[in-house]
Formats: sequence, C-alpha cells, structure tokens
Amino acid sequence: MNPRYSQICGLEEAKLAIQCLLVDPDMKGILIKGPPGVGKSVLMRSLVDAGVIDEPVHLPINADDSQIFGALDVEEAISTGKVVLSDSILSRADGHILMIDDLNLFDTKLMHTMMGQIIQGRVLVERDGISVSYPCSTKVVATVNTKEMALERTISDLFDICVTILPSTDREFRAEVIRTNLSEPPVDCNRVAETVANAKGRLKDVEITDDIVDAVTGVCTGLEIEGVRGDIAAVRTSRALAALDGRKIISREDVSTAVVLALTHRRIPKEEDPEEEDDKPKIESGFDKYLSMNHDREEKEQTSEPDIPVNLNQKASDEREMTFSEEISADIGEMFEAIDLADEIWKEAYNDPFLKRKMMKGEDRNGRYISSRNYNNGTIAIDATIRSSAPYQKRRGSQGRMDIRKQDLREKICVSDPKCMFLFMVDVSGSLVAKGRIRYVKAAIMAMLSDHYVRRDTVGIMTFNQGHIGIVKEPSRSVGDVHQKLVDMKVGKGTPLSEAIKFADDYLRVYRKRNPYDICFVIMMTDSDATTSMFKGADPYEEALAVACTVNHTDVGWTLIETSGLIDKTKGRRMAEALGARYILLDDVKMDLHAYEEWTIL
Amino acid sequence: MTEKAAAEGRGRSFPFVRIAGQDEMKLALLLNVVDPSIGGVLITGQKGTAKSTTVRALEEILPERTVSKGCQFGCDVSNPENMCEICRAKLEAGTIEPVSKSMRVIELPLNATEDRVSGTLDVEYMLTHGEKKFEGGVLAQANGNILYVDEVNLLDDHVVDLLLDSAAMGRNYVEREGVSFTHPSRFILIGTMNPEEGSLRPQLLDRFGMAIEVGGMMDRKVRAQIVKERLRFDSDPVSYLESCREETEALRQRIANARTILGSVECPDHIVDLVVDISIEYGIEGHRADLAMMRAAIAYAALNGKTKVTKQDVEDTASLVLRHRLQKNIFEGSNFDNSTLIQCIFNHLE
Repeated sequence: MNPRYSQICGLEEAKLAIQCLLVDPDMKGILIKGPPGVGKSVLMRSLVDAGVIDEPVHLPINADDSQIFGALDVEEAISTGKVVLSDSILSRADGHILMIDDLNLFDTKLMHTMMGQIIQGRVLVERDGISVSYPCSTKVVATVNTKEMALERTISDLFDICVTILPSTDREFRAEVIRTNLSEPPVDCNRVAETVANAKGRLKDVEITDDIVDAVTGVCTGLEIEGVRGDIAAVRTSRALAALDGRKIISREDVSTAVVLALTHRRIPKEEDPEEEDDKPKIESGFDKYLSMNHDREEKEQTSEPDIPVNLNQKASDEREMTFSEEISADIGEMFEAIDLADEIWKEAYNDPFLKRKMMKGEDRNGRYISSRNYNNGTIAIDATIRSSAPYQKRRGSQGRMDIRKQDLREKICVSDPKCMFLFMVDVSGSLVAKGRIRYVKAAIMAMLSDHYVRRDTVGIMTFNQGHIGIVKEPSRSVGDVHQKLVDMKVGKGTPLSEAIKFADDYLRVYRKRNPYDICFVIMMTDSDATTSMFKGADPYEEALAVACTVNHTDVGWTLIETSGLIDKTKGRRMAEALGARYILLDDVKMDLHAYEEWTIL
Repeated sequence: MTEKAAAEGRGRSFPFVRIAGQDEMKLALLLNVVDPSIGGVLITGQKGTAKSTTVRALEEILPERTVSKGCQFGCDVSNPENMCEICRAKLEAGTIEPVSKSMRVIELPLNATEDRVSGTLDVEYMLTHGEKKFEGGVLAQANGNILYVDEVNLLDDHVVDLLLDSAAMGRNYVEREGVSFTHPSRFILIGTMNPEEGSLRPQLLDRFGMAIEVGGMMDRKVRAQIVKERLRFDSDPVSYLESCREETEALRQRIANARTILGSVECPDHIVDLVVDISIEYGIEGHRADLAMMRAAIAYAALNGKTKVTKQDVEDTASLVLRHRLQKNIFEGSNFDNSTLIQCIFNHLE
C-alpha cells in the first residue's frame, strides 16, 4: 500500500517543487532525481491520493510511438471506412499529469520529440495517411534513477525544474519511514490541493520586478549556463513560491530556492583545476568560481558600482554591499555543494563516469519493436498491417472478418541498444615484466572494465606470449572473475605478435558470425616488440606489420595501447597505422576514463 | 510401478519438505510467501544446487487466495485499489464473485518476447470481429502469484525494464501495437542466476528484497542422501509425494496461519530502531533495505506463530536482506561480514 502524501516525511523540497509545477500553467515538467529506494516513485504516486492531481496518465517503458502520439483508429476505419486518429497517451494526458518512471531508461529521440510537443502544447501527427494536430496541455512528473545510465543533457534541459533527493542517514527519520510503511494509511486530510488552487489564483498578482530578473540572469551567467531556459524557469519558480506562501512580493529566499531547482540539472560541475592550491575544498561547485570571478570584476569596476536598487531584505555590510545576485549565490552555494558531493559519491560508488557516449541504436530482430515499414521478408507487424488494411475493409466488402491483402503487409522495425564487444588483447611477454609495466597494464584494464560494466558491454580477454596464445576469458558481460584472471596471467618470454594478431582476427570472424549485431572492438596492449615470426627466417616485426594490414578493420574497431616506456615510439605508431588503429600511450589511459571514453566512441 | 502411476507423477515437483539442506534459500522463499511485499528473492549459485527444484516445489505449499471469478488477471477481491477495469466495474455493480484459488509459480522463459511478457492485441479477435481486445501476457498471469525467472541475468535488457516497471508500480501499463490497457501485476519475483554467466544490472539487483548464495553440498553423507531421495522420487513420484503428504500439509497450514496473523504482529519501536541502526552501520542508502529487513523479521515471527517481533527475529533474517546490498566493488563477490550485525544486536538494549 502506498503511503499517503501527508505521511511522506522529509521530502519537503520535492513536495514544494511539485507544487510550483502545478501552480504555474506554463511550467511543463519536473525531474525527481535520486538513488533507488529514497521514495521518488512513492511521492509521485501519493499525489493522486492527495487529490493534488487527478487521473494521471502513465507512460510505460515499452510504449511505442503510435500509442504516444496517436495512429489510425482501426475500429473506426473498419466500420465506417473513415481515416481518423485514435486515442493516444498524449491526447489522454491533455489536462492531466503525465507520469514517467525512470526517464533515463527511455529512448532519447522519442523523449525529445515528446517533450518538444508537450512544451509547444500541440501534438503533430504525420503517419498512416493521417496529418493532424491536436492540443495537449499537460505537465510531466518524471523520476530519474541515479544508479542507472545518466540522462542526456538535451532531455533534462527540457524540464523546468529538478529536485535531487539525497539518501538520509538520520536514524529517527528512517525509523519513521518504516513505521509509516507498516501502518495502515489513514484517510488523507491534508490541504495541499487547496494550497495549490489558492496559489494558482494569486499567481498573476505576484510582481516580477527587474531586480529579480537581473539577479537570476546574474547567477545564470555566473554559472555559465547555456541557453535561457534555466533563467526563465528560475523566475517562474520564484513567482510560484511566493504565490504558494501567500505573498505578492518575491523574497530573496524564493529566488535562492528557485535557482537551485531550476539550475541543478543545467549546471555543469566544474572539473577541478590541478594547478589551483591544494587547500581548496575537494568538491568545488561552480558557484565558488562564480563568486571569485565576480570579485575580480567588481574590484576592477570599483568606480562604477552597479546601481541595482535592491530593497529586499538586503543586509548592509561594513566593507561593501553585496549585490542581490551575489547574496543569492551565497545562499545557493551550499545547496549545490551538497548535490555535487552526492553526485561525486554516486559516481565513485557505482563507477559511473558521465556516460556521454551516444546510445547507438542497432536494428535487431530481438530488440524492441518501435515502428513498422512495408513488408520485406521481416517479422510481420500485425498491428501496423491491420491499420494499413483497415480503411479498405468497407470497400473490399469484408463482412465481420477482416480482409487483409498482400499490399497491406507491414514488418517490424526493432532496435536494441547495441551490444559492444571489447576484446582485450594483452601482450604478456617478458619485456613487459622486466620493466615492471605489467602492473600498469593490469590497472588500466581494471579501470576500463569498470566503465564497460556500467554500460553493459561484453568483454573478453586474450593474452599472448611465446608459450601461449589464447582466450583467457570468453566474452561475457560478467566481470566478476576478471580480477583473478588478471592476477593469474602467466608471463612468458617472446612476443609472437603476427600470430597473435591473426588469432584475434580469426576469433573475431567467428564471433561476428554468432553475434552479427554486436559492435566489436579490439584493445591491443603491447610494446610492438615482436620477437617470433610464423615463418622461419622472416623478420618478426615486418611480418606482424604485414598481417596487421590484412585484418578486418571495417567492422572491427582496433586500438593499440602503447605499453613500452621507450622514447622512440616508431614501432608502435607504424603498427597502429597498419592495423588502422587508434594509438594511445598507456600513461594517457591509466586512470583517465574520460580520455578512454572519447576514443571508444565510433 | 504401473504405467499409470508414472503418468500421474510426470510433471510433479519434488516435495519441498524433503529438500535437504539449503535452509537459507527455503527460509527466504517462505518469508516471501508469507509477506510478498518483502520484494522477492535472488538465488545465486552454481548449477545443480537445487535452485529450480526448490522454487518449483513451492507450488505444493502455496496458500489459497481469494480472487475474482473469471478474471484473467486474477484480481484480488479484497483490494479494490488495484483491480482491472472489468473487476472494478463488477465490484461497483456488486456482481463480483469471489473464488478461492491456489497461488501459483509462473515461469518466464528467457526467450519470451516483449509482447508475450506485457500482453498484446488479441489478433484473432481483431481479425474476426474488427474490434480490439487485450490478451494478457506473463505479467497478467503473474498477478498475485510467484514470477520465476531462471537465469535472470541473461534476460534481455528491455524485458528487464518491463519487469522493473511492473514491480515498481504493481500494475502493468500496456501502450503498444494499438492497445491501451492496464491491469494489476503484483508478484513475488524470484530469480536464479549463475554468476559465471554474467552479472545482474544494479537496478534489478536492488529491487530484490533478498538475495542468497547457495553452495554445493560438500558433506558426502548428505549428498548420498539427496541422490537416494531423488531416485526414489523419480521411480514412483505419486507414492513418494503421498509419503510426505502430512508434512507438506502441515507446512502449508503453517504458512496460511502466518499470513493470517501477519497484520497483527506487534513491532515495538526499539526493534524499528535496531533495524535502522543495522542499515546505517552497514552504510546502506535508501529505505528499501530498512523496509525489507523489518518485513522479513515480522514474517519470520508470524511463521513461528509469534505475535511480537524480537531481536532474535531480526538477527535470524537480516543477512538475507543485507548481503546483496553491500557489494561495493563490481570485481568482487559480496563482502558481507556479519560481525557488524552481531555487534549491533549485542549493543542494542531492549
């Protein structure tokens, strides 16, 4: 049983944010972000019981685009022969709330289109011989699970505000949550629906002064926020907060709260600059930089002190007066810091580097059915076939039973998140051990594997030296035993580079036959110091170069990681060229996942 | 053995009460049957450690539940908040007919396609009548029952998403292939996996209320006993089942009783505090672990016919809930260490 809205304790900020969304008719969306099990969905569902919103429309994870936007109404077409648009999720959401659980699991392109149309307030449909548009006034409440893939910035920017729910370590609070969940939910008698309704009526009386706008844009430019969506949302949220509190004047606290709500998801946390002093706080929020930057500017422009007529709760300072926007910045700094800190912890705990890689979609029969096209020996899309034949049923004179003809047939277009296979090809010859570099190789593999684990890639490992060339770990999504495999890696003399490259190429040929939809990569870690050839008397290195030229580099992405510490890197560079591989130095990879990210992108 | 006896016995599961060892797995399953809101069990272990056998054997001891007659989703008549449209209409009209039905174990095969999982358009009906009709899938059958996924780690990601969605909402929302439909889908998710074949997505892992690891039986005597029992069962399932009918019935009764008294089990405040302390000491985020730990202790008390939860109940069940939530490093297995648990319980004053 879902706890009641009034019983949900500790999520005050989130509750307030949702009320803001409901108060302003022009605000369209809110993101509720947080790790699993902090009450994101519970809060979302409790809104219904509380009467804050009525009859929400749910967007299930596997909804297809014809259901979201609308398609031909089959029943109508069959019985009357007329081409009419069917009911759709967006048409049903008109005047209601649309709820999305785990937004970050949805298809990016689909969400982009949908949010775009919602913001416009009109849905445009061009399909199945239908061309119509219909109004859709809805608001979106969506949750984002921080333990899964990061949400694309282009999507999050379409949401006006965002709240982050941080996990609590407060004993009393957690005990209270347990008690609430165990008890029978009482009849809800909170007045939140009333508060929202009153605030709605009061909204137009709240004045948005130029100071407020200046303050907000000041903070936004200071944080280097791209685009003005954040600015607009922050101003709107400030106004809604004042209205909710029954005031006609927007206070500084309103603006501070609003700025955090509107900018959390738009701000790019600054990377730490290694040249800065060490005594800086570990997590630096963008705000700090903004403040220091502002100071510099102020000092230079001392003569022309900005002439902002601030009359709201302004504190007088002995040295100089802070501007309104600086005061707000001071307020929000701490809040952003808490969020940044949490983000940092989540990243550490789950090894989730910002997943910038574009999700590439591959066509795959076993994937998710997203759309249809004319039949061409694929899997028949029954719904689309029925839709395409429906308008002709009357003309074909079908009585009760549908008359489906060859030209009606449609097939499914299925996509799946692409499965990437990474084959690590590790040179475990003596030269590597002698120089003590094997440790770095292992560390680099581990760092890269953490990254693949998060992205659900398939990873395999092969090793080579004179004594042995072979797969030590068959490609799989499991990384559990890799650590042991790396520890057990046997090191031997000699480097049969040519044979190893041939082995990997042959292995991949077979692998690709069995897994035609996988995108394959080889990460070769070697010092390119070939010592053994396949043919007696051939120069081992030249032979390896020749073999490298013959490998499949159209379907397989090759990367060579230089493990040699020598100054002269000609051997490695030439080898990479022959393989058509990207060439990276081990020292550059070591722990730097961001660099690694960039070159694994196709 | 006659031909007839063999035919009758075919397809029957090995009796739960005769499964040797694997006490942790059995306990976890029983607690979930007593209180489905614990959130399911993930069973990790090598092949041949009686994972599937135990789950399938549950069917014999599952309690009865009262459902709406003729409903393909098996709507629970006592819960009007979570019913399908048809049953809700019936309820309002006063024509709903309660019937008693045994809980079942529904299996989700790995190769199940999305439409069979979430349900889809009844094509035959559409073609013959020109009207839409929804045909329920696995999620419809699973409502109120146990949903069993063997090798859950190998399930396609988009099918996993569907399960997560239903598990979170308690309802299945279908919006595809021209069908717009929703029905209740509240189930006990039981998954088994062999960790060598790939790991589980973190989000799915967190959804499981409990996780246990089963190991091979290394005691020669017990192994011999298991082999003998199994051979006896295979040669004549009917009489084998008959021989332990009383025990099975007793367990079934015990579960049914536990379910009856579950709501009235008293849970003192200091026990709630203890649960929170344990979670915080182990550094667990979110409230799912807290709730699962509390519910497990309550279910355990109920299973033992007690009406008040004690420290001992928490101690006996906490590890089931905690183990899979402590895996910080993906390269290692669970690093659950019960010394913290023991310390918490020791420090705790009644």
